[in-house]
Amino acid sequence: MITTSTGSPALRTSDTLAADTDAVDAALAASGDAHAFERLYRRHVNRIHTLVRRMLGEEVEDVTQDVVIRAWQKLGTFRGESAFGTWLHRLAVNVILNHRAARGRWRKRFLEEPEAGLEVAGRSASPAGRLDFEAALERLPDGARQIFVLHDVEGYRHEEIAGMLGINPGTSKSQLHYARMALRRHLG
Amino acid sequence: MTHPSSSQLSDYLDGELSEEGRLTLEAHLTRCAECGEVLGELRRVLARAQALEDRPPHEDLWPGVAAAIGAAPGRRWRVSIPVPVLLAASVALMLFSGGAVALALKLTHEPRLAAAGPVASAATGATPVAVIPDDARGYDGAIRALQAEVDAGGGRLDSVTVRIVNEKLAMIDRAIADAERALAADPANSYLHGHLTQTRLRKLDLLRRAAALTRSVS
Amino acid sequence: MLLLLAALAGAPLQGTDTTVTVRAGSRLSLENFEGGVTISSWNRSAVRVQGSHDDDTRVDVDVQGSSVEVRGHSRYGPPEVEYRLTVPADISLEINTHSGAVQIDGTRGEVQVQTVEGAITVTGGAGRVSLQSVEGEISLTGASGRINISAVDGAVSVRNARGDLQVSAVDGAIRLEDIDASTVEASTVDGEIDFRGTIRDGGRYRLSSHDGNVTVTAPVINAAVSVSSYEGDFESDFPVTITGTRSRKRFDFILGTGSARLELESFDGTVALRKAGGRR
Repeated sequence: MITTSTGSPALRTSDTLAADTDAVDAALAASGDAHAFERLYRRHVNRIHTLVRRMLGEEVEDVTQDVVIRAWQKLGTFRGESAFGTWLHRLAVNVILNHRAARGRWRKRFLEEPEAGLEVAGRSASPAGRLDFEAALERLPDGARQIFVLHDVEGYRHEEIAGMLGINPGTSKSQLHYARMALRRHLG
Repeated sequence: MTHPSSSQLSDYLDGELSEEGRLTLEAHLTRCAECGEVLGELRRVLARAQALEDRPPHEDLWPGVAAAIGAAPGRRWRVSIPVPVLLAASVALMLFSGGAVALALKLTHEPRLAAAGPVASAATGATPVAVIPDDARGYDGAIRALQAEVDAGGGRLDSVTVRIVNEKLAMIDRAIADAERALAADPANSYLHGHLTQTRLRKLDLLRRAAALTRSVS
Repeated sequence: MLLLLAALAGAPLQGTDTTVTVRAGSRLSLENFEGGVTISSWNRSAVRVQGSHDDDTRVDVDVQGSSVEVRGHSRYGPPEVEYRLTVPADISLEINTHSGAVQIDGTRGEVQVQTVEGAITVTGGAGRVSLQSVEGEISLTGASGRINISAVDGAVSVRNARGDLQVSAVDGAIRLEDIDASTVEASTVDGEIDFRGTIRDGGRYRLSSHDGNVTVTAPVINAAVSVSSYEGDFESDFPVTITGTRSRKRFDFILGTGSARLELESFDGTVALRKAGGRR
């Protein structure tokens, strides 16, 4: 592991290499090189597809394609301040959220969720737990699932999530809490 | 002893508590194993979430992308059955099964999400056509109808149910194909006509059941 | 301190054990997401609900007049309860679950069961019996009345039934044994259909499969029979004189008095008429 002079670990060599390759291909693709764009696609599609699947659960192939096509259209705005993967991820989240919003069901899903979490919890001792973790994740109500994915899986903070979704950070926290409490029965 | 709420434990995990709140909670944890266990479970959920892996799509999506961005002139949407023909067929089936046919028909020729950019326009001539993307798997239209039903119903089927229903739809489609092939070789055969209609009705019935499931899922 | 000890010892799951008095002729409805449901009957005018679940979940048993509602409520997520019920034999049952097997024993009332992912096993049932699953085998014994069974991915077995029988499957065989019904309609896409029972005078029997054999076994058949098998064969233990054949793949004939009506179809399998209890 490479460390800087202060002793903290820097990016591993392979991470840096990947980021550089992405940056090069992004520059090529921005000037119209479809082969370079295909290379970017192949390196990032699994991640994007998985994100779409977890966030939406439906029309996954269509929306994944929409994300990739939007990325092609917006390449000119990628300035390299962040890693390409990060930029692409943000773009994907935007496309996903707009897709939901266009369907007009977003707000309703949030308001429907029960207010939970003020009570003291006991140790979970579920008799069922037939669903494995990912299946249980899929079963969560939309709002709770998406916030769980954004926060715990993808690492966004509550303030960022609140901004992206147009909700209060408090709502984001309580949705996350709901999801975590529901999922603890399926740790296996 | 007052225990913290589970949402406080969750906030603690994320460093969202005030300094005072954090100290109080940590003091409590030294005395309370039960809360410690709940916290442990929440930690494990977070760890699990962080360890989830990416999975590839079922099929290669690049060809669709390439077409949309104008990079692959070869691939275009295939023009499918013209709408008037679909309507004529549905009238015949309608005699047997009522509204479900009209619904399924409306959904199966819903045009795909249009991609920005130069996608080949499939409409040529005056007759409006149902544009359905070219796809090796013949049952995709039925699956799309199912997905559209799910959207319309405002609910979501879990993937296990979707997988089973899709598999059985494929099975029914193979049966339909068998009957169609036989009918092509023996067009005057009244048993085959009846059997083909019956099998198509099975398909509609299955789609209807799946749609009912989406409506009942909260 | 007590909590700590209990936790260390592996405390038993939270449970519900509620008994409520009910009127005669009541109707019970139960909704669950995940967990099996086992129902047996007793002589008392009461319903006992035992549920096994975690402490984030509670089970409500609500009696309003002659209606009993059993519902689980979970603070986080859909209700996951393993149910065991004891009910009066004449109560009507309406069970709706997503995942988990449903087993009902010794009921004499109406039965309606819907599961997505779970086998259904019912002994008894009268008046109206309706069993539906997407993934799961369905088995019904000793029912009478209007019987309606629908499976998508699973075999169906009906034994000792009287009345009107309608069975449909997509991917599953249908086995009908000891049937004494005046209307039987059974169809599947991929699976065999096997009927053993009585062909009643004036009855209507329609059995069809796309991809499986269709076999009728009866001691005596007095029926106008219509057999279609596109790519399979036709076999009969009964003497058959072909009348009015429309094509060589379709046979119409009369057996005995021709009182009942039998329509047997298989696209890809053999249609067979077998004589019960006699030599082949």
